[in-house]
Amino acid sequence: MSIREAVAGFLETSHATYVSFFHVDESSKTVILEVPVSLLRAKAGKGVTSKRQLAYLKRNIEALFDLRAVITLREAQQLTDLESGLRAALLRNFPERVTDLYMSFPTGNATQVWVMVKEELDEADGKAVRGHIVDYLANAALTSEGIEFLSPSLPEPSIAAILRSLKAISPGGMDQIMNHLLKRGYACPSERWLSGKLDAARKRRLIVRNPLGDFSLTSLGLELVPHTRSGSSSDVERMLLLARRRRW
Amino acid sequence: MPGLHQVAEHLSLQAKTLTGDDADAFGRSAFNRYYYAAYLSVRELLASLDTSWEASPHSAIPDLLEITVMRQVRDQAKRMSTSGLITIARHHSLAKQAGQASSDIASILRAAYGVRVVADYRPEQRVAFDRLEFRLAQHTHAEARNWKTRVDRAKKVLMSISKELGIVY
Repeated sequence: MSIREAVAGFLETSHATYVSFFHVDESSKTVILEVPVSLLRAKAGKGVTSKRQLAYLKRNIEALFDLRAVITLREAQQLTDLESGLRAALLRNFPERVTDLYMSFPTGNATQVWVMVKEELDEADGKAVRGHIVDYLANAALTSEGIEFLSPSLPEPSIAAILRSLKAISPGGMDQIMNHLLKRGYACPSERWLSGKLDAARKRRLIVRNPLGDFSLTSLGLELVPHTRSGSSSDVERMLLLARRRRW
Repeated sequence: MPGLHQVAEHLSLQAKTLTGDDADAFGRSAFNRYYYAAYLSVRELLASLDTSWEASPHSAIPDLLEITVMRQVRDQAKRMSTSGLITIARHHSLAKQAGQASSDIASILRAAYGVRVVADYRPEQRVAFDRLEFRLAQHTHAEARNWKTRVDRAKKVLMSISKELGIVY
């Protein structure tokens, strides 16, 4: 009996009807079991399953066969249709505001919604879009795990981006930080705005300011800037900039 | 490469007009191209997160997304909330959102990769056609043509979070 047949037999005897499809990758000794997300609930029941039951199934398969079991959720047509419906409704009602929508389904009756917008919405628009979504989800008998708005590009740099720029150029004054951020595609609303952000970071001892008015990161601030071991790392960017200006 | 998805669409249209072995050949090639369209989109995401991830083997990518990428997001969100740059509520929300988006991408790639393997190496498993739809390894054409679009949307979520955390900028 092949591993495939053995797993199929095991799924049948354990009544795992919620596994819609599985495939065995012999080279990596892995079995991937697909479960339609529409059959996933907080609690297992007739014809439906739960994260807990799936974890149990995974453990059993791994103990019985010399395989790694991976459970993967599979999109369900009905839920994808609900997503298309909400997308179409929002695009029709808010054509100047909403550009796209994405719904993720952690279980068959809950959803996390992301609305992609042209630019950040003001309070009234945000409320209107949110209200629309809440009503729609209620009618579709879906509970909301959260509704988030995403702008295409961040209108202004996050504090993380400011620190990262400062890491690359430090010591640097306000103008240099602004210019560097601009090169990266971030526009600071004003010098005053940036000065406020820098001040807040200074009070948290993440950066220091020398008598000339130039800012640098403290070791605490440096730890906050992510760095990797690859070419795109902030460490590499810093080194390249240092090498280019030949002054340190 | 945005073109791959169109190639897949073209192959699917052809498959629907043909019969027998020809229909099967076009149908399975379409599934292969739908997989690659989704895969390349994910590869682009990985490259912008960390250039050394670009060359990851196909079968390692879902775990890379669910484990390594998520560890990076959680660690950075934690560092930022500890130092007061974001609130604890924001930290948890970002980690949850990223977890949802990355496991969506991972699930799609796992399913798509499985179908792609059948399409390329198991000619004995035939593409099944009915009136309006065709399927391979129990995955319908309608599902396969959604792979890339769903990946692209979940990708936007991950990119936006990575920018907020300074992982990408």
